Amino acid sequence: MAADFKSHVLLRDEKGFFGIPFKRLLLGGVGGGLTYTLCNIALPNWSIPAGVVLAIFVLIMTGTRGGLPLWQRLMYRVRGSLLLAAARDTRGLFGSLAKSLELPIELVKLDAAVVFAPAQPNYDIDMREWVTFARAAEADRDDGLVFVDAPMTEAIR
Amino acid sequence: MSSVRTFVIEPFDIMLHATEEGVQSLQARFSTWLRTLREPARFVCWQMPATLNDKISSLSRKAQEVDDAQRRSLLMEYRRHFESLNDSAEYQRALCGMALWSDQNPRALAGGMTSAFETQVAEGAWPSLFEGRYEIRETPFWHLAPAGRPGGRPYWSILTSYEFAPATWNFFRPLPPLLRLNFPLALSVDISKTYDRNAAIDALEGIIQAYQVHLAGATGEDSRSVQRIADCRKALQEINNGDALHMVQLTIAVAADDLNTLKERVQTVVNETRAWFSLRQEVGELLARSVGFFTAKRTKDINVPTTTWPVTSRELAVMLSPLGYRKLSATDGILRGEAVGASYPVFHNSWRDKRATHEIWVGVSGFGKTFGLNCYLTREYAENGIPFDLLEPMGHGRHIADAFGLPWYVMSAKATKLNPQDVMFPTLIEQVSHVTRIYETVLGRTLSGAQRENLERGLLGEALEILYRGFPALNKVSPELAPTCDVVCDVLSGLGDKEATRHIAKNLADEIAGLCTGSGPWSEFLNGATNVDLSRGGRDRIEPRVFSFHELESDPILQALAYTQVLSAIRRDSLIDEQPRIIAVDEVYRLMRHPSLLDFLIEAAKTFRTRRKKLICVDQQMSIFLQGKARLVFENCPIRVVFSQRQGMNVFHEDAAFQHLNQQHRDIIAALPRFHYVLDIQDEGLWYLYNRPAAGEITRFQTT
Repeated sequence: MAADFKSHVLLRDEKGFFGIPFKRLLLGGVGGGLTYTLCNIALPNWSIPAGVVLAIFVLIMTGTRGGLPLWQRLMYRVRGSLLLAAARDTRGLFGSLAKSLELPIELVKLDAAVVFAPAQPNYDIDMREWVTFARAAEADRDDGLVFVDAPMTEAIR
Repeated sequence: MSSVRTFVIEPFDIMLHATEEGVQSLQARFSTWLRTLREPARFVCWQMPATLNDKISSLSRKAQEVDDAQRRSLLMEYRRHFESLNDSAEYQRALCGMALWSDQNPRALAGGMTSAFETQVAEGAWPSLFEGRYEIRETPFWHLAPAGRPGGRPYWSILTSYEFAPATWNFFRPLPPLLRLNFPLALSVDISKTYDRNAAIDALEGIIQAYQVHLAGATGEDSRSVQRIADCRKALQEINNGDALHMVQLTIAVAADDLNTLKERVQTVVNETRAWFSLRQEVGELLARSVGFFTAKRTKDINVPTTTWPVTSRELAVMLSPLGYRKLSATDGILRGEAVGASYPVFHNSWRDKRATHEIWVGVSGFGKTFGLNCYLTREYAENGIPFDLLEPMGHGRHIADAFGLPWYVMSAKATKLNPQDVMFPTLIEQVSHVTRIYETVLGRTLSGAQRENLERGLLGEALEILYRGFPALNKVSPELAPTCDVVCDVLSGLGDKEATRHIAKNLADEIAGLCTGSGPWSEFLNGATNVDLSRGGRDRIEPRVFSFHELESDPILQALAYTQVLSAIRRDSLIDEQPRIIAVDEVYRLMRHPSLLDFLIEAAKTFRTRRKKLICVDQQMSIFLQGKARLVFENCPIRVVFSQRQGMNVFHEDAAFQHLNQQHRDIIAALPRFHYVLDIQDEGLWYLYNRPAAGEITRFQTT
């Protein structure tokens, strides 16, 4: 018996043009259109090239590799390099920059004792949870034997 | 918010399920369990290369410590055997774990997984992916490097799945080949979300609708959209059949001792899985964060961009395939064989418990039972110094006796005398009852149940009491002093206070005398002082002994009596100390077919157990251990070694004790080749093994 894996059934990825999905084209188009509109007010002569360049830029930056869009991959790469630089020089420019960006500098050095700490502090069985009955009938009368903290403690109670 | 519980899972052997029906049922069980998930879960498998070095060094250490030259040479022989295994194979050690975010009782969760995965699951802390402090490094590529002194610690790289190809997955592909790569790696299957059924159906129907609208307006061919609709419909059908929809991401951590090797290994893993799913090598901050997939940290706290994939429960079930790849486990214990298929040696320490764990060995003649037993006894003797008593009816005990220079006790109808009145029990009541059982076997009838038989039992008991009371204490009755059968008959014939009872006593005495004294058929064997030294004789330790009964072959009653007396002597000595010892009884049905001797065997099994004496009952068919009272012996034996059972398969289908076996297990048992067997250890697992002997074992025992 086997399982035939399916495509991503929760993802809409309608066909676009030139091998680019429709939603990326849409985003590029909207981005380019907005840029054209805004540039048309300030720099009317540059509005068309600006709109086209931005639309292409959006198309490139949203292109995925490794399941992540380019802009996100670049961002993580830059953040990673910044983290390393900040870890080397905590008081310098990169250190201050990382602090102002609230970058998690602690991720540069991983301590196995902290990262892989057990989910539960204590996995020992607590025998006090158990009640032992010699005969089934004793269960009705709460006559079972129980483990106690310490004999003296229980006697004082 | 639910709290996280981590569990460790002992992998099982997929070879025991490797038929179409077997894997089908496995997938069905896994997916049934997965359907019940409501909260996130994470499955992790850690795999490290392993060697037999610990075992080899432990044998070397023992060889230096022991004074016994024979044991020393055996230990060196086994050391060489393990060295050759080590050189010719690449072993891995594997452990699986599951983290569940749930408010349920952890023991209940573990119980649920135990029954779903049919393997041991216990709540416990997960092992660390690495030890000490590590830091992320950018050059020459992003990786994790040990901080401070490396101390032999490897470099790590982490790969995360982002796209699953439309391919067929099963329990043998694509994850198991990864586990066969002989380098340290860990695999995490993160189930970040399980959709509520209605939510999953709504989401899928929404996607279908959107694509239908898209296709209605599109010109030309859009095969991906058509396929997406088909996939959504298939997923809907599976969900409507009970599956759940899970969001899943795979993460693989790869280690190497240097960066070039690490790069090469990363490439190997990526290439190996490319046909099924794509992997990206994590960089920068994501590299450090993705270590969290090997801990019990929530996915949203790990905070890595989501590249999960929706899969139904039946698809997710095959992602748990690493559970079916049991690898080299602990090397503590005795070598029990080599796993068929995976070819890793299986060790088991049956002396961990304070009480001994008895074993049942079954298998038809010629399939390696005796050879396997000889190997096992030798290994226990060499490694743990555990002596043994071997009782066998065929005469092949000579081989093991010759190999170790042991005394070979051959019970003979003409030359051997075993006095039934030898003291074997500490109290008079028990001793009288034991002797009565022997006479019952001789007479071929029970001395109870009807008036006359009850009187006979009483009179025989009285005679024996009179004789034993003549001594100051029961333990002072040495074999030379023990009353003989003719004395018992003399005393018995004079008992009875009424005419009727005197008559019964006389008749019984005559009946026993006719069989056990004078020219009776068993007088040579039973009437007289025992001439085999079964006593402890003031020794602290009794060396291994071999008892053969082949010269009694023609008389099954005599053979049963001999078995009983030898076992009684062993039992008597067992009460004195708690030194571990193995008592192996071959062809045990010879005892079991006599009701009174069966009682004795049941009682002896219990005594042996509490005194750390392991009883190994060997016979041809499992069925004889499951009938009537013999079942008590079976139930006291948590270890079952099953060789070929061609003629007696019905019990494995019908008996409740074997409900844990599936059809594949039964098929394996029915068709076990020579020297192959199934090792079934209650509450621990099931192994399909081949008895790969050491060179010395072949030389010593090849004729068996």
